[in-house]
Amino acid sequence: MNKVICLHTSDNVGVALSNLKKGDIISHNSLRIKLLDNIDFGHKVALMPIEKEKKIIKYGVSIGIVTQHILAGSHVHTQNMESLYMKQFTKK
Amino acid sequence: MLKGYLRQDGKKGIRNYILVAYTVECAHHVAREIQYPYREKGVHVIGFHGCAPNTYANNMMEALCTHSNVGAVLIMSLGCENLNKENLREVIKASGRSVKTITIQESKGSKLSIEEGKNWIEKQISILKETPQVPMAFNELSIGTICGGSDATSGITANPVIGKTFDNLLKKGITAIFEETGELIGCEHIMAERAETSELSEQLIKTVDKAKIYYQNMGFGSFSDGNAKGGLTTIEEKSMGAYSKSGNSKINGIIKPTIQPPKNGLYLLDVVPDGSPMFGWPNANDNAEIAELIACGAHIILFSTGRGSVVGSAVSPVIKICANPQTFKNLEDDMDINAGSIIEGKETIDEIAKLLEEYIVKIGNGNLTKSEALWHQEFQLAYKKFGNLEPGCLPS
Repeated sequence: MNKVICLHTSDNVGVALSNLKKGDIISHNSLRIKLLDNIDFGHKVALMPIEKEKKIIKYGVSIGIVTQHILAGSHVHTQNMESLYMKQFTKK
Repeated sequence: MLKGYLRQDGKKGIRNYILVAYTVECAHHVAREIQYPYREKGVHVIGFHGCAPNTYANNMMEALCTHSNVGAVLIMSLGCENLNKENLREVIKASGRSVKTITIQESKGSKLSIEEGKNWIEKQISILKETPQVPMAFNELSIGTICGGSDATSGITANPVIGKTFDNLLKKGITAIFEETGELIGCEHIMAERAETSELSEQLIKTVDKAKIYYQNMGFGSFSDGNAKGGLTTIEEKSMGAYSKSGNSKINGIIKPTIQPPKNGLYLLDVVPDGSPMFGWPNANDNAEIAELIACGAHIILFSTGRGSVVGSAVSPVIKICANPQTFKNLEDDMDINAGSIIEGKETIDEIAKLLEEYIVKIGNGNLTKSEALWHQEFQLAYKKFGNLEPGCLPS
């Protein structure tokens, strides 16, 4: 059974399909990734290392920008990414 | 292949329903009394509650009464309301459909109007039974989509399933309509890249900007703490969940309620009124949006739900795609497709999309959806105001 769903082949994050624990192993494209954080259902996990200033890709598109380097298996959320849209929006 | 009822304008319907259409709330009860004994025989009630004139409501009533799923219409009027019932009758008549108007004030009241209405309905039922069915191709089918009662599962199962199904069926020639511009805030630039023309691309951004301003004026923010707790980080991520219902195909145009897509393809339906907020929320509930999708010609509505909406609709069948496996277990009698099995890792988005496509064909051949079988025939039509489409919205 898949523990995460990857919604598009170009995504760099997956979505947890249940509450996953730190240390759990998930598989993605035949790679095994050890979770570095607890990942609750519906939350995102990095499927690869993602550098600062790079984009988080989900549904095959950018959903925001990385604010600090993310290791594969980490929880991806407000602590390490932010909206690009709101930035542009509030600048106006 | 599907089976359709051929109409005078060349369009085909997958149902042959009779509508009892009330032209003001004052005639609603009488309309319902007439319809109720025949609710299992394809007789539905639609109507407009308002008495003050409203062009949008007039247009909606005309579009719904001449929808290809409709074979005959009984107009129920009180007598002193403002809706232009004579014009409505003329439009229905000109479409080749059987139509009758009963005006309660002229028919000696409720009791006799109900009797007269029932007699007419019974005759129409036997006449419509004889309507021949003809083969109907995918390029004669229009499908709308909406999500309601969404939760954290909607954006990762049912919505992408609908998007995938749209992609598959658009290749076969259908017309597909998505909407909810208020929930597309943050992904308008991504959406604009899918536009068929550069003019349309600009209009797609403008349409979402309009929704953004409208919702701001209403004091409505789209991103909540609950969204973040559920795992969504940004507004663009949240909107992508709703937007994923539209699939990945090229977008061919923007329409407004009651505008029929001029050719097949994928359309964004702009349901947010033009001008400053005048009559309240853009849409009071899901059924108001479903009615607008149907008024643009949709034969079938694909309804994605996580928490578990149970509604159906008058005029066109609603297929409910349940995103959440737990909800599916609780509400199995109301849910047509279990996309929650993707959460359980039992099936993939592609597999459920294939199941949904097969299900659509069955519904297009006369099988009843879960909501149809339970006689769900919800309908909502409120006051609204729209201007004309901007140049570049429709394909040439």
